[in-house]
Amino acid sequence: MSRKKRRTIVLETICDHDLYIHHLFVGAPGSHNDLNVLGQSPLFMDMMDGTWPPKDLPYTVNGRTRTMPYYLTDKAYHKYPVFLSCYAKPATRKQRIFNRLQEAVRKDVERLYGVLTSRFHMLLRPSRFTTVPQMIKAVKAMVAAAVLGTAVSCIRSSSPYPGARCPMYTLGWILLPALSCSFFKPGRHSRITMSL
Amino acid sequence: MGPIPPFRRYAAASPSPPSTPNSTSDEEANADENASADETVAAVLAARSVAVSTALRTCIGGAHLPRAYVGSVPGRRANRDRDFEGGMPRIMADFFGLDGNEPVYDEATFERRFRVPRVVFERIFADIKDEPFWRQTVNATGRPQAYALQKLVAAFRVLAFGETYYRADEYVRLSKATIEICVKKLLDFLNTRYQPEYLRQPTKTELTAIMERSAARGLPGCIGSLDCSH
Repeated sequence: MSRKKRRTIVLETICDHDLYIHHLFVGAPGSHNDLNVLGQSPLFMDMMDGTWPPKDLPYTVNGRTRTMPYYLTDKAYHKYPVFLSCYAKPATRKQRIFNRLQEAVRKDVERLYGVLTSRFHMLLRPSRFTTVPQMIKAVKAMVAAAVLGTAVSCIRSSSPYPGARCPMYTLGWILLPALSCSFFKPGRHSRITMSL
Repeated sequence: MGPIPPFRRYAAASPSPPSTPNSTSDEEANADENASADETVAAVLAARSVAVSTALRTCIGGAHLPRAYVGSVPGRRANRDRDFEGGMPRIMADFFGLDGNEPVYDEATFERRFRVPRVVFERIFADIKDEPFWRQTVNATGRPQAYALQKLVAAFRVLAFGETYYRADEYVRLSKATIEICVKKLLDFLNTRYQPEYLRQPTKTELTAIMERSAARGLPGCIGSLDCSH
């Protein structure tokens, strides 16, 4: 039973700005909160083992060089080095500004759920698959298909940071007229529209 | 006493009375003592299995049992006369172009209907069309079965719109049971084929790109956002 008084399972995801999903964990019962789910997730096991995230990608914040990359989370999560959550009760102006900026970037993952469910309406009615293993299988499959679509959108939008993604798409498709576009201005609040 | 003709013992179970009116089961057993015990056991088992399978198939008194797939047997509804072959040309004309004509629906509509870009759909189709379940087969009566594309379109419609299997039937012209199997097979296929490639941790190159990008957004070192949804 979830907090919405319905029988559900929980979906834990990590995505980046393109809504490219890097981690998916499905199957925890709906009565669990975010922290319980994190405790079960294979990602967290890797973090505890120290195998993830990699430590050899240094970056500099406020003149201090650090080697632990982090994920943005909401304020439910603990203050671990790999999580950057916002202030639960921002008191000062500085904290409020930080919260606003952090939430602006974190909205990626909030947007992801809207995009996923509007892409595959079956995700709204997963109980049609009758058993929990079936539901988990269905969610994973649909997310994989959605990521395939996202990969194409990344190429079409000629994102400034395409990374090393989607090696299988041939040049013929990159030359298609771009249906989606992305505006990206460094240093400012970025705004990206993607075709669904 | 000559050899007992085969099936002599089965006749004893039939309503026609034996030749001697006062014959009892003991006398029958005596008469059949030449028959090996194995044959008797085999006959009993055969009769039992026929009875059980008949009861299951016609579902007499078996309504409370989980129903197995029973197939085309007497006593069940005949197949609906849906325009089975008509589904494929309509799909082709609508989305892929038939006889050199342009498809009825353009790229944007294709993406809206199938919820994935055309490249993705075509890639999935290219990967799936030779799989054992998906390729077109010929059934026992010599009639060709559904096309791979027909089944894939049906499964995608169910996933995209979250609709019942009956709704896809109206467009694709496949039965509800077929579409249900198609959806489950498609989910299996997507999992086994694409999950290792598309649901994984980012590589070092991708991580560098992600971190570069989040640095430009004002958060150096961020490699993604984490959240749960119920």
